[in-house]
Amino acid sequence: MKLSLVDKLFNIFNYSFFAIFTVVCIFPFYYLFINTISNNDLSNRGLITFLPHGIHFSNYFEIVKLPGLGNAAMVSLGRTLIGTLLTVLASAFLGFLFTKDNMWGRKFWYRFVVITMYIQAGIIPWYVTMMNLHLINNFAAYIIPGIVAPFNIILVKTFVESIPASLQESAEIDGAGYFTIFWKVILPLIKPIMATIAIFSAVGQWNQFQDTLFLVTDSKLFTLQFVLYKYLNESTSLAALVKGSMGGAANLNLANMQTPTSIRMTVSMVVVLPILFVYPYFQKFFVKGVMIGAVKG
Amino acid sequence: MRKGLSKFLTLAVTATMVAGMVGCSSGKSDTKTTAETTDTKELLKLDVFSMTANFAGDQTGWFAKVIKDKFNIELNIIAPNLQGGDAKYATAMVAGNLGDIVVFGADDDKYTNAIKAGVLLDWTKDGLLDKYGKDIATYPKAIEKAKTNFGKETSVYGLGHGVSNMPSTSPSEGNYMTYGPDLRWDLYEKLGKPEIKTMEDYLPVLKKMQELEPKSDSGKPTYAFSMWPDWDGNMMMLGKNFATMQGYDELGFLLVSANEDKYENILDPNGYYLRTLKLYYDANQMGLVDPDSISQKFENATAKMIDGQTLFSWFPCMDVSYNTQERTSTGKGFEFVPFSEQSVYSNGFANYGANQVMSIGSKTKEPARVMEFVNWLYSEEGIMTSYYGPKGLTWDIKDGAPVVTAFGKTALPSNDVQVPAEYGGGSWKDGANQMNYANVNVNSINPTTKEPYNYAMWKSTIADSSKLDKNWQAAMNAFTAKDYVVKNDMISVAPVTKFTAASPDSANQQKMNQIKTIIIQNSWKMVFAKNDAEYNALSKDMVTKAKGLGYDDVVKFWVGQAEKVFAARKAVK
Repeated sequence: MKLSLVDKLFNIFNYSFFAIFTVVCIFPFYYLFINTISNNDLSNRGLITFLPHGIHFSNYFEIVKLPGLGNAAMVSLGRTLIGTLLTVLASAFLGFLFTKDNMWGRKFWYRFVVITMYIQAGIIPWYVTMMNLHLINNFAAYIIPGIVAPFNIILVKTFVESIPASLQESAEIDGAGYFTIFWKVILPLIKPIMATIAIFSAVGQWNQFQDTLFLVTDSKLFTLQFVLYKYLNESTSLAALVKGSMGGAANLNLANMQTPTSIRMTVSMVVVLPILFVYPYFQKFFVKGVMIGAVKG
Repeated sequence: MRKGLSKFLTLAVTATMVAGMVGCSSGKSDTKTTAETTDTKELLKLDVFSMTANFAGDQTGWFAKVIKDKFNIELNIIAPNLQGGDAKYATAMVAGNLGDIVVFGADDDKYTNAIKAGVLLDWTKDGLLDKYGKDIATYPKAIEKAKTNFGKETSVYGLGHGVSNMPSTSPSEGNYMTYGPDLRWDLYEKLGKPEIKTMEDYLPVLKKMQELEPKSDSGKPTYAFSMWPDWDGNMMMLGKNFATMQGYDELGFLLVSANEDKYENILDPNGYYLRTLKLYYDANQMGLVDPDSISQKFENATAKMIDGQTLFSWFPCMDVSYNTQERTSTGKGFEFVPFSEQSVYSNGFANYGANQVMSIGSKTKEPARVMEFVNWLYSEEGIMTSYYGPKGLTWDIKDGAPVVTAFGKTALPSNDVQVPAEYGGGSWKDGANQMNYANVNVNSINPTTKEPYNYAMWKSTIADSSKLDKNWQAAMNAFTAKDYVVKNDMISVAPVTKFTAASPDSANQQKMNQIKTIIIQNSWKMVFAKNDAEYNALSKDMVTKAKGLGYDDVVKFWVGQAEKVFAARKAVK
């Protein structure tokens, strides 16, 4: 079909707009990457913008030597794996339960869970609750609060409702209990939505640093994101310090008190890379998963 | 129905089991492992909540080794500056526990609220201070201020920082002052060391220096002034710096004289602040101001100084970035170049302690041991060790006089050099005391050696000066910048008093927040104004808007505080 002039113009505009948009999205990562592989001196002074100069990879070997980074990586990995696994299972099971009409107090529990999506009490009440549950300086604080996530439950519920009820009924007739129906019938069928929830949950767990910020003072429980957050804050806090106590700063080599820009950028890269690699792989489930429950019958 | 109930029960049981397993298997729960009894010195891990620290995590390196060997104590530093700021403080207050040692950045609401909430330990309770605070007791005025200002005359909840028994009218700085100005001495020498009478006279000299060295080490253009806005508080911070060189420092929206009963408000048309902005504006017209100044951060400005892109330094403590050994051994570097009218602002020794506070948490499990540790920081050995490491590492005593060792020359003040394993290993700068609190002013005289604690002031160190320093010393006929200003009476010493300035009430505070935004924004725009017309328009706009937002009311509040400062100074003298 021959394209009219308007169509051609529209296509040109469309492609250019999205090309620019793509560049804008990708450029920050590209900038980060070339700064980590370029000559440290140049990148510390902000001279690397479009092309790398003096390419070297020693920054990545340097950061392995940073104290606490290895431990933080383990903690981050641990919470991502355990947290995601538990969240996915719990969301799947709860979502399945909510589809059963004869669940005890179904309407009440469902609303009870969903309301928490809209209402937030603020930092202090949250902190007091965590404190009373003994989740301060505790690895469980990374896992337990995230297990019941209303958004994930709704996704699963909608998805399960789109599965023909006859499948479950036939299992029931054959004498299957709820658990068996869940494990043997439902779980295999909801793989797309489980992958979706897994990716949401994994990204959330990996990126989370607010809980470390307030709940953890033991350095053995620091996550990778939190270590990065500390490095990024160093220069601002140094400024505040020097402002506040001029005399005390007189005996220090101020330039040495900050982690160099190159190290900070490398840590940022390391923190972002896992998600960058994992996300495209799960992409196929993501697109299928979110929309699939939307059209019924 | 039964099926539904059993389902629910199974879920509940499973959930509980999972929670239990995870909770138990973590094993990383409560980390405040403490000693069981007070007599046997078991390992004591202390949480230090330091609002001045720029480091978070366990104290490592040489300082960790020193306190482990001596007290069997380990420190875990919690730094709100890096970890949540005010919200972190709020959550800790809610928990009723700020940690074992608490360092406050200022003796303001946070400190007084903590006292009211009972979160801080009273050092006079159970005779703790009397029994374990023998070295602290050698600073009675600091204890007195703690009792009078914060302890209802009887209790001591913490001491101010930088205490000293040196006379309060004597300048408390080390070799160089807090404020400069410092110029590139090698270039200044090449120009024949022209005389500089007023602050504006720097501009032609700087212009010639820029012509002598138009490019830095890496080939970038040089500028006299490379500024940074991230230190701005109530005003453009670098706008007050020329006032400090003439004996005035900020108090809210005022610039108050160090030792006379004089003050001016920053928008005064004849005042130093506006005069400084005009100086920067003229400098910019002459091409002396780095165009990045308006947006860059302090670390960028430091990086530029390291590269040699700047010719003028407001803060001598920054010079060390450029003044590397390589450069100073050839006579290149920044040195103090005063102007004739100068009378640099100086803080006297804080007999009563200044405004940062170190306290002990009331929930600490071993108050006696913590008190012992804090007391050590006030002893001669503690001062030297906590600043400069144990004897023999960076410093030693030879023939009764303190000297810096060869290792010390490479490591001090805070360089990234490896410490020998027998002293704890690790990097020197990472192993330093990360609580970042100066208990005692290190420029005070050590009664045993009769020289100051500060290594830079030792006779042996000064005798070993670099080529750059020796050139400067010969030209200025003084050993150090401080020596020069004291000799030539170009110094205004502000006695540090018992007085603590009040915070403005919420109405005034709100006005201040709005006004300071206007002042800061307009100040920067004025520096980079294209011509006189724009400059004057911005200046008028700033004053009009500020006055419209209640500037005069706020100034009245600060004038009240200034009067109190003057009265307190008289009491000290």
